[in-house]
Amino acid sequence: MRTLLLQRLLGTIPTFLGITFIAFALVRAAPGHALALEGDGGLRQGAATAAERREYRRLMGLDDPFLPGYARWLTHVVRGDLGDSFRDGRPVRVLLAEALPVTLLLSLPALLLGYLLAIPIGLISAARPGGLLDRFLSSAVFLLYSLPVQWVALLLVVAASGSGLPIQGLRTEGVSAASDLFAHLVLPIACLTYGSLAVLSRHLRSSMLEVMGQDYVRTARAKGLSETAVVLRHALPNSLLSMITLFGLTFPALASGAVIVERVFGLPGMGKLTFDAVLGRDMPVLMGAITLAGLMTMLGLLVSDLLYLAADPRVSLRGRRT
Amino acid sequence: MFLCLQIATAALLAGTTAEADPDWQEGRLPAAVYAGVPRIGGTLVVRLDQEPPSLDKLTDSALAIDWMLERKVLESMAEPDASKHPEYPLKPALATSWTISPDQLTFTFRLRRDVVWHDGKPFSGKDVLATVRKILDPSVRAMHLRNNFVDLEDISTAPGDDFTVVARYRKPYFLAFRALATLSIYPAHLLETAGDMLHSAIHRAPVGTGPFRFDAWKTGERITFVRNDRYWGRRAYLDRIVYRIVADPAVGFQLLKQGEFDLYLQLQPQQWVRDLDAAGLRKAVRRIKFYSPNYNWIGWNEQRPWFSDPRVRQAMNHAIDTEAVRKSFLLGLDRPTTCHFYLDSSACDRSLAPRSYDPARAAQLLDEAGWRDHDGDGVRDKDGVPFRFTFLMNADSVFLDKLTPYLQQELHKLGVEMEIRKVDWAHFVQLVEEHQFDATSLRWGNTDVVQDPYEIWHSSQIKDGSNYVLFKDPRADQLIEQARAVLDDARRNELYRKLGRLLYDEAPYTFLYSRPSLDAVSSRVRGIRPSVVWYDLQDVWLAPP
Repeated sequence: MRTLLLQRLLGTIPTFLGITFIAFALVRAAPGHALALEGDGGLRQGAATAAERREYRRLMGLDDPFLPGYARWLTHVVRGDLGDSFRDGRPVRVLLAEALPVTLLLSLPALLLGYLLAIPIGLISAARPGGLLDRFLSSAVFLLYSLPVQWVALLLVVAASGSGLPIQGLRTEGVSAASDLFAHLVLPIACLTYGSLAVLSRHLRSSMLEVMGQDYVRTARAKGLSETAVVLRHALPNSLLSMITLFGLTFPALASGAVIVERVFGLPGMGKLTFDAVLGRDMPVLMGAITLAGLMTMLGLLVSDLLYLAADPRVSLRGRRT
Repeated sequence: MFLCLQIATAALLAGTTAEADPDWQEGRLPAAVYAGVPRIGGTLVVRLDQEPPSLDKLTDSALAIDWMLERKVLESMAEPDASKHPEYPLKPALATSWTISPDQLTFTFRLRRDVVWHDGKPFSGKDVLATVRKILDPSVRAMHLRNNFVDLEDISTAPGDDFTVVARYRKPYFLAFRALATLSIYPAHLLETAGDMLHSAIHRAPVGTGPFRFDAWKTGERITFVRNDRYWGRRAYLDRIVYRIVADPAVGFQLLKQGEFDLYLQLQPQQWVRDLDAAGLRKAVRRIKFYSPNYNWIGWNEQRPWFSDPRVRQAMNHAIDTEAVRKSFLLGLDRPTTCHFYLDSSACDRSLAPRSYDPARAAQLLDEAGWRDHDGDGVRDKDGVPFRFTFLMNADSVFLDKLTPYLQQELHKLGVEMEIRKVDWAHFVQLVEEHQFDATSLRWGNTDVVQDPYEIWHSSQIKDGSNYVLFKDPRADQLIEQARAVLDDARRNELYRKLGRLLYDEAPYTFLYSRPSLDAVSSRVRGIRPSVVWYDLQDVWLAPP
């Protein structure tokens, strides 16, 4: 078990290098000035001139040759130093530590809720494929899926105003009760959840249908088991395997944040941090966010591998059993 | 009959509402705002649409930093008198008086002796010196301030007197005095260990001498200031000021409707014009409209073959119906201008009216300049070059999104083809600075009514300055240089009016409009006074509910 983990972890190193190298190249190649975020369609007279901006680029190491630049960034990262933001001078580590909890506070409940709702929907749909209930649920989740989140978020804001449900930020000033935090999370989490229902439930439905046609399900039915027992005990566990793959793929999204939802509801998470870094060409922050996303992707793959191991007896450490 | 009645009723309604509250319609504050005895206490909640990168004037030039800090948290030796529109002359602040030597090279400031920093340490001329030295330190990101101190020869306190500051300059320059006098002063004892500022505590938690002191900054949510009870002047009335960061305009408006803000900054034009009234907020909030020094323009790159002739640039101007554009795209809120300077100042020659919409005149000017359709393909050309150019714009601009297709159409009628290229802001700024455009549009903004046109119009500023359109005119250069040495506002503005006439004729820019600040303030807020230097919140108080 330990050697497998070690192997897996070692295997991630080249992937990590690949991700960060390509990201570094893209970020460096992007045209545009760092520090240009404060604009609003206008420039201030008497602000920094072109010559001064050039001097700034030099100070920030943006004029260094590409490969040594990457090597220097990498050695700093290995030592745990992600650099300082161009924009506000604070360490990228601090910025990530500020934004990541906000994002996780949204994405983890949204993911959980998504699975909790999608599994029953998928099951009910698969129980009678093509039936009235299946068609209704399919239409409903696809309708939700097709609603643009910007529009839904604003609609929720307008609907919620006056209802006492907060529409902005994480906490009411001066209030530290958990219920207050919870109330602030209701709308953003709703926005983050509804779209994923279609993907998750349809995925489960199709893998359920595939499993329902298998020999062992027929055998279970032939044994005279009730339909509920067949579905819940024999079909569901097997179809959940494909959900594990999906989980591994959705894992990185947990830490990458949601630009629109964060902006509308005023939540300073990873989405806002990354988006602002792109607009302002804040290279250290951007590289920090990409590095984090890369790590999460690899972690996600590792976690889903381990889950497979636990869930599927056919997968083992020493290769396939016969 | 029915229709008539309807029109009559509508007219009646419009008439009554307009007459009932013309101040509200126009965004002027009524006299009642300044009546009554000020009351101490309360929290003013302000909506901010963008979080500033820091609270450090030495390293960042974001407008919101000036709003929050200037004259509230940080103070300068002198400050613009906000009640004296439109000249905004300087009045004493940390300095009680000052003198300028006859050769205009030496400035002497006498400072107050009763001032303490928010952390309790005493204030003196040493703080002024330390602040200037920090700005001159090349490792500090203070490029935006350093410009005004290039000719500073020496700054020191008088021997044996820490409360007299003497600054000597190598040559007379009108902005040198104003820049030094209005420089926000930082505490020397904290600057010492602040390094490049970016990593010091005062980068995000400023320590000043002003009527309010910094309290807390919750990233992405709010920045809070509280009253400084040890202030040397009249103490502020408000207990606290909370700036809440709400980026989304629709969400912000909902919160305004719920009564969550006392001062709402940056309403969108349609919110200001229609939505406030439609939401029934006529009683609860007062509209504010004022114009800070700013204008937007279309610039024609003079080194492109099409725009080297002033007649062509004038023709472009005649091709745009600026009044119709203003009314339809900008809801009539923006003020037309033909002047580089603050449009209420005497630096502007008000007799220069915007060029009229006159396609026939435009065509004639193009003909005169030699741009005719020689080859009969429907597009004007000259020396084999067709009149086909690209308009570079910032992809975020709502205004240009409407203006450019309109301009495209108008020019097409004249036999001129225009393409539109949209790029994101960071890229846009780079392209414009490198003169990589045929035509483009931008807005210049300033926080002071006194300004030097040097960086934008002097020919030396083509390389590395802000003369993006490559304007080169020895007459303009001479006027600009001459004006730099004139400290007297009236005499300098006379030179600037001459410069204005020159720019009007040469038409390197098509001058468009000055954009208003559209804010709203709760009716319980008293003593608030908009000005080009924003609001002075130490005079603000809250009426009891």
